Amino acid sequence: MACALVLLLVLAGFLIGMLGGIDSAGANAQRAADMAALAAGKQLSGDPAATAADLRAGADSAARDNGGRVVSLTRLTEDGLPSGVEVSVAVDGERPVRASARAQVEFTAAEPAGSFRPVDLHGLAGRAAVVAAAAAQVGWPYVWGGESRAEGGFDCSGLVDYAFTAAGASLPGRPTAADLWRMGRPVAAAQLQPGDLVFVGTVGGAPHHVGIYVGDGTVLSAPHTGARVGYSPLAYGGWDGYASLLPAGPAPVDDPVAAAARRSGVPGHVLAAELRLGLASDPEAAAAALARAQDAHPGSLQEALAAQLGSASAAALVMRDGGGVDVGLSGAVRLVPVPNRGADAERGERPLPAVPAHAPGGRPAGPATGGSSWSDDLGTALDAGGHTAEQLGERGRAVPLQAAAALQHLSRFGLTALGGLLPDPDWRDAANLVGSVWDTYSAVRDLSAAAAAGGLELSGVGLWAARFSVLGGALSTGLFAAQAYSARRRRDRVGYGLMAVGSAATTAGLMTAGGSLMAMGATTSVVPPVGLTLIAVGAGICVTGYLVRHPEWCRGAARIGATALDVAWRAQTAPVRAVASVADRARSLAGSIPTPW
Amino acid sequence: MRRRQSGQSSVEMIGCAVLLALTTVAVLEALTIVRARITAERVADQAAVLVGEGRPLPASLRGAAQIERHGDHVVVTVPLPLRLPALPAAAVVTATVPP
Repeated sequence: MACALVLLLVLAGFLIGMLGGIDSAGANAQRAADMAALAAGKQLSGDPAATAADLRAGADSAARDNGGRVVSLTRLTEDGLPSGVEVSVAVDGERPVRASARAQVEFTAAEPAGSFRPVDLHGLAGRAAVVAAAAAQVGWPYVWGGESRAEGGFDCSGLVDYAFTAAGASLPGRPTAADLWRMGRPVAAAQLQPGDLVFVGTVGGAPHHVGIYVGDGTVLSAPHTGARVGYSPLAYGGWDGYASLLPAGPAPVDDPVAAAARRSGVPGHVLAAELRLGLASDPEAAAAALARAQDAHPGSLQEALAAQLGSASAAALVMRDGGGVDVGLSGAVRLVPVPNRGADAERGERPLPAVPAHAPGGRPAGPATGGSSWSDDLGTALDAGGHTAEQLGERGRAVPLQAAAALQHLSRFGLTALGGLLPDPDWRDAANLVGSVWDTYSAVRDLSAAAAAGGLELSGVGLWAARFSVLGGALSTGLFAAQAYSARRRRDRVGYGLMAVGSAATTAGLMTAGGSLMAMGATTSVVPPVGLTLIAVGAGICVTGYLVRHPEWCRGAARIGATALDVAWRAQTAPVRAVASVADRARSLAGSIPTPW
Repeated sequence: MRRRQSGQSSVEMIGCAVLLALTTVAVLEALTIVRARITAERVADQAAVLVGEGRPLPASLRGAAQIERHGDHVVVTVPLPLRLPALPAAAVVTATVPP
């Protein structure tokens, strides 16, 4: 007895030492993937236009620093806008292991302190630039004497001064409306071009209000206290003087986006950016939506955009695109779980070689094993608890709840427990038989789901179940072989022999996953179709072994089957027989009616 | 003759008990080393991610292991409770965080 205990302990020590001795390639790979994804995500957060090739250099460096190499990098997009990166990393060594990580980037835009809304005037000059710079300020409140962001708004001449300065045509000093009137070259109302100024109060020679004519019979101005910078018709503003500070020249082309922005009273530069980035296709509809959002969020254009687009990150990218490089862009980078591959495929993202870690129907991708390998289910049950704890812990990453998966594994574990604890040996065999049938069915289902994808990817609960199944399967093989050797009845020898062969096949099937299956740090492992086939065949052989040991169950099953078939046949033919019976009765009744002739 | 057999059995019993005890200690030590290594790997992974994301390290993480930051490197050390000669004193894992 003592020698057996020592041997058992030595075996346990060997197993533990083997697991500890296995290099932590899996953990290294996951860490390298995490760091590579973070590096690429950080680069993307500062430069949303960076391509996958641009991002790969930084990711490669981070992966190398952690002992891995980047296998693939995908720049993720959401509604056409950059949203993150997904990186797959391999660690080469005695046991090559791959791991993937996904970094999500949430962008934030920051306008320069003390400035009004910057606007990207690239390609614009003269009148068009003045109008664009002024049109970008729609929505600011009127503040008397206002000329800086610190003051929180504009007055009428402050708006003109800002627009000309932003367009590169700075005016001397800080002119008032009267100063602008004196500086300008009078023009007739009919000759007004976008960028010209319109005044109120020129009759006395010292106008007290000024606006910018933006074309299409519309004036942009900061009207009065309590109002906001906005558009008004030229005909109804009381404008009585018109002047130009800009050289005469061809009028800028009035594009439909600017016209839509004017009609809805929204900043033209962000509306144009939304259309450029593909977030909207109809200028009128987008302008109307932005106007509604601005009414709900009058204090912040970025908040209004976020409400309109449903994403603060998209709003920041629009602000940056419309405002140019003066709008600072930063991003919060967070690692998120790599989602289900099936969902990725539905979204049209890069297909991956592995199948979902969770097969359709929510069942975890744990492999099936022979009915007597109790340790796999015990490990699975324990690991389910571990996963829940991990989810509740401060990991910084969401871990999908696997309660349903754990429940299924616990149910299977319950069958195994019954198979070990029931008092009657026949009952134990019956429970194990049901478990083996379950395993056969699961393996066949996994095989059909994974055959096209090149294998079944194991992770989380499934991976741990597989690890314990290997150990449990090896143990079962030995026990069944010993029972077959010592059995006295022939059918017991054959039955236990079949079970030993089945367990061996199941274990061999799992081992086809390779070193990543047992590497403690590995987070994923792929069982190829040939392995799944071995598992299915092995579980089937186990079922056969139980039936060989209990031929009476086969006879009972045959009797039940025959009875079921008979009942089904009777149920199916009942309507026909009922009709025939009614017809016979009718015929008999008709024959019994006396005839007068 | 009978007394001699009894003495032989006692010696065998004591020998087996000593062997069992030594084997148990060795297995437990192996288990401790593996456990420390796994803990260090997990803590290093989590710490590196949190540092990379610019977030503070929670106290629960610091309680599980000794975490030091040297530039871009996060060094996680999990000391082994039982120090035996020729065995490592601690499990140490280093992660390099991107700047």
